[in-house]
Amino acid sequence: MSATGVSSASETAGTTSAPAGSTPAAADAPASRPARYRRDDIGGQRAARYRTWRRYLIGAVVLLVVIILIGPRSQTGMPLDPRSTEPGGVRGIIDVLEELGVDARIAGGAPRESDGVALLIRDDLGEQQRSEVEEWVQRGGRLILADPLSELGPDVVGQTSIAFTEPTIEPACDDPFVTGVERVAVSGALVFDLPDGATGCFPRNDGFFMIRVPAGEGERIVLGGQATLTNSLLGTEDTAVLLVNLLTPDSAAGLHVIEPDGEGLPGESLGDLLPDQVGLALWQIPIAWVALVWWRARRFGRPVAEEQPVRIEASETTVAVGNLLSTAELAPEAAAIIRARVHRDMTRRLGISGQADAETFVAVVADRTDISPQVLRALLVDPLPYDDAGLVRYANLAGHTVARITQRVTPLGPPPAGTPPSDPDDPLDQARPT
Amino acid sequence: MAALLLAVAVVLLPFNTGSTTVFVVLNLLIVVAAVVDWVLAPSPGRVGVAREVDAVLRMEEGAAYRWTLQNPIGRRLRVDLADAVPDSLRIGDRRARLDLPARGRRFADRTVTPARRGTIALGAITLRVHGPLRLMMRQADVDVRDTVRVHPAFPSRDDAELALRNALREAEGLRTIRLRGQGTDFESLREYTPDDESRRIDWAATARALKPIVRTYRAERNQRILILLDSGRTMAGRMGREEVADVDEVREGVAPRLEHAMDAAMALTRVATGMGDRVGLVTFSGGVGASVPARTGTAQMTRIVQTLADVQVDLVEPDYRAAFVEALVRNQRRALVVVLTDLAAAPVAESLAPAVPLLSQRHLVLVASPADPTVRQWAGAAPTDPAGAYRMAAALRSEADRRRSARLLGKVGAQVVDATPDLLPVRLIDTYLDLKSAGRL
Repeated sequence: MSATGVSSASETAGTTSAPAGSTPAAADAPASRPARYRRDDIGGQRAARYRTWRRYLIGAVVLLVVIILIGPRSQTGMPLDPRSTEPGGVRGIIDVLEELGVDARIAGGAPRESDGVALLIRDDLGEQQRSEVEEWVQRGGRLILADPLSELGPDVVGQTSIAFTEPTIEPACDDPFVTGVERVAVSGALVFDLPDGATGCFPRNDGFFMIRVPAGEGERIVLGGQATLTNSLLGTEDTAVLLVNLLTPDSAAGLHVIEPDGEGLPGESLGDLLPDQVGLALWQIPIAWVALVWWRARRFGRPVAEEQPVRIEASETTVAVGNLLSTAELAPEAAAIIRARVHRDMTRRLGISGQADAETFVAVVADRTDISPQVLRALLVDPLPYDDAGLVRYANLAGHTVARITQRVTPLGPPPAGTPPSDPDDPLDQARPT
Repeated sequence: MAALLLAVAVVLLPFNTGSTTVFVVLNLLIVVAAVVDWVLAPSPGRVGVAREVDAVLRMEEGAAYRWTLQNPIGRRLRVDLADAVPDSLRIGDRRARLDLPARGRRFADRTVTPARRGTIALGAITLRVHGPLRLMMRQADVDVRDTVRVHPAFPSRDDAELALRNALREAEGLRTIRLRGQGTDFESLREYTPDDESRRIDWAATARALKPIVRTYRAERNQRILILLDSGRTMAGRMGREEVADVDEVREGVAPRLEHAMDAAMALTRVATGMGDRVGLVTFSGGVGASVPARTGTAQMTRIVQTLADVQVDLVEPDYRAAFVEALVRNQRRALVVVLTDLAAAPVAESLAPAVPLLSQRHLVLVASPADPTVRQWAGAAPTDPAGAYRMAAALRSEADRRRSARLLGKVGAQVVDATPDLLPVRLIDTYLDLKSAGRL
C-alpha cells in the first residue's frame, strides 16, 4: 500500500517511459546513512547555512574595503604633514624653530625673496612650482630637500641600514651645519652618490645621508629620508640640533615649508589612479554581487518545523548521585555499597549463607574459587578505604572479583588446574598464590 | 548563471575600450538574455510532480521514497526539486536534480529511515525549472499533500515470532517433552510415540484401537491480557538496547524507555494474540490516555500498534490509580494485567505499590520495566579513576533500589520482570507463557 501524491497542476500525459534507473544525479544521491551519522546530517546542513552566510559577509566586507580604498581620503593627521602633531607628523621641528625666533610659514607656491630657507618634505610639485623653487634656489636660497626620490636630488646608491638594523649615524665631516651634532636618528633612509662639486656628510654604505649641492648662488641640501624630520625621532640623539642648523636662516629671513600646489599629485584617491575601464569593472563587481545575492536569497524548499523531543539520558540520575558522592568525599560510603554488592554476589553465586562469620565466609569462597584469601579479606573484612585513591583500588579489585566469580564459578568450584589468567592486568591474577 | 556572466564581464571590461557604452551594452545583453531565458522556461506548475512513499513506515527501518517528474513540453528540461521532508524522516538529501526528456518522465529515489513515531504530514514540493540557456530558473511550490504514519520500532519481532512458533508447537503436542503452554483443553487423540508421557495414554481409546493412543491438549484460549503502558516522566529517559563494553562507545538502539516498553508490549501482543488470547491496551500518564478494548486476532496487533504510534512521553507523574481503575472498569473477568513502567524507587513506593492491591484482588498483576544497560555496565565495571569508582557505587545503589522496588511490589501481589531492553520482551513472553501453562490466568 502506498500513498501517492499528485500535483494539483495539470500533468501532461508523457509517453516516454523512464529508464530502469534515475538520472545520474539522482542515482548518485546518498541512500540512508548509518544511524550514528544521522545527527551529523543536521549539523552539516547548519554548517552549510553558516558557510553561505559567511560568503555573503565576506563579500560585503570586501565591497566595503574597496569603497574605502577608492573613496577620498582624510587629509588630517597624515604622515609628514607639517601641521600634524602625530608621531609621523613634522610639526615638532617647526614649533622648535618658532621658539627660536624663526618666522616659519607653511604655504604653497615658491618661496619668497624674504625667505632664506625652504623645506620640501615630499616632492609632489608640479612642473611650474618646481621651476619656481629652482629659480629661487639659483637666486641664493637654501633648499632643504627631505625627499630622497625627488627629481632635484642626486642619485641614490644605497641605504643607511646595516643588515636589518637601523643604527644612528655620525656626521664624519667638518660642515658647519653639523656643528654640535654627534649622531642623528634615521629610519629607512637612503644614501646618495656624491656629485661633482658637492660635499657629503653622514657617510654610510658607500654613500652619504646628507649632500650639499651648490646651485647658482644658492644650494640644495638633500637628506636621505623624511623620517628624521618626524616628531617621533626629533628627540633622538642630536637630530633636533641638525635640523635647527639646517632650517634656521642666516639672517632675519624666514623659513618656507613648501606645500605642493596639487598639480603634481596623481589624484586624491586610489580610484583616481585607476584607468576608466578598471573603474567600470569595479562597478561590475557590486552588480554581479547583487545579482548573486538576489539569486541565492530565495530559499529552495520550505523549512519544516518539528517539535523537538526531550533528550535526557536515563543514566543521568546515576551520574548525578556519583558526582554527589564524589563532591562530598564519601569514599567509605561508596566502598560500603560496593562491599555489599560483592558479598551479595558471592552468597548468591556460591551458595554460601550470608549469615556466616567473615573468616568462615572468606575461607569458603577461597576454597571454591581461585581468589586468594588476602584479596577476599581486603574486599570483605579489612577497613574500608577513606580516600579516592583507595576507593579506586578497592572498586577495581571488586569489579575484577565479581567478573571472575561470574565467569568461572559455573558450576561451583575453582577453575581447573592450569587455567590461564583471563586478563594480564587483572589484580586477582597478580595476587594468586603460586 | 547570470551572476556568473556578470562576473566574467568584470574580467573582460578592462580589455575593452573602457567606455560606459560597452559597460551598459554588456549588462543589457546579459539582462535581455536572462529575461528571454526566464520567459522560455515553463512554469513549475505545469511540471507534473508526484511523491511515492508507503503510507505506513516503521521507526528505524528504511523505506523507499520516490519523486516522479513529468516534462510537459517538447524539449529537454532541467528541474531541481526540494521536498518539505521533516528531519525526523532522515531522508539524507531532500533535493534532487532531474533532466527530463521531451514530454518524458524521470524519477529520483531516496530512502527514509524515520526517527520518530506518529503522523507526519508532507507538504509542498518546491520546483525550480531551468531556462534553456541555463541563465534563469523559475521557482514555485507545488502542493503535493501526503500523510504517512510512523509506527514504533519493533526490534524484538523475530524473538516474538520464534517464541510464538515454539509455543504453538508445544501447545499442539507436536513436541512430546513437557513444555509450557501445554494447556488443559482436550484437543484430539493420536497414536502413542515413545516420547509421550504414559499418563497421557487414553486407555479406553487404546483398547478400542488395539494400539496405544494418547490424548493431546491445547492451551486454553480467550484468556485476557491487559497492557497498561506508562508514558509519564520516568519513561522519557533514553537508553540503549544492550550493555556496552565502553560507556563512551556508540550505543545501538538508543531510545526513550517508552520505546523499549512499546517493543515489549508489541512482542507480548503478538504472542498472546497468536495463542488465541485477548489483548487490550491502556496508556496513561497524568491520566488515562488511549485505550484499545481486549480482542484477539491479527487485527488486534494492528490496532494496538496504531494506537502506540501516537503515544508521546508526557512529563508528568504517572497516575497508576487512575489507570488501574480504568482497567477494572474495562475488565470484569480475571485478566493478566501487565504494567509497563519504570521501577524508580520513589514512584513505586509512593504510588504504584499502594495501587497494586486494587488490581491484584481480581487480576494477576505483572510489572515489567526496561532497565538501563549503561547503569548495569557501570555496576559491573572495574573502574580505574575516582569518577568511575563513585559512578560504580551510584550504579550499584540504583540497582539495589530497583531490587527493593521489585520486592515491595512482590509483597503487594505483583510479579516483576526487570530486564535490559534487549531481554525484556523475551522475559515478558516467557513469564506470560509460564503463567498460562500454570493455569494462573
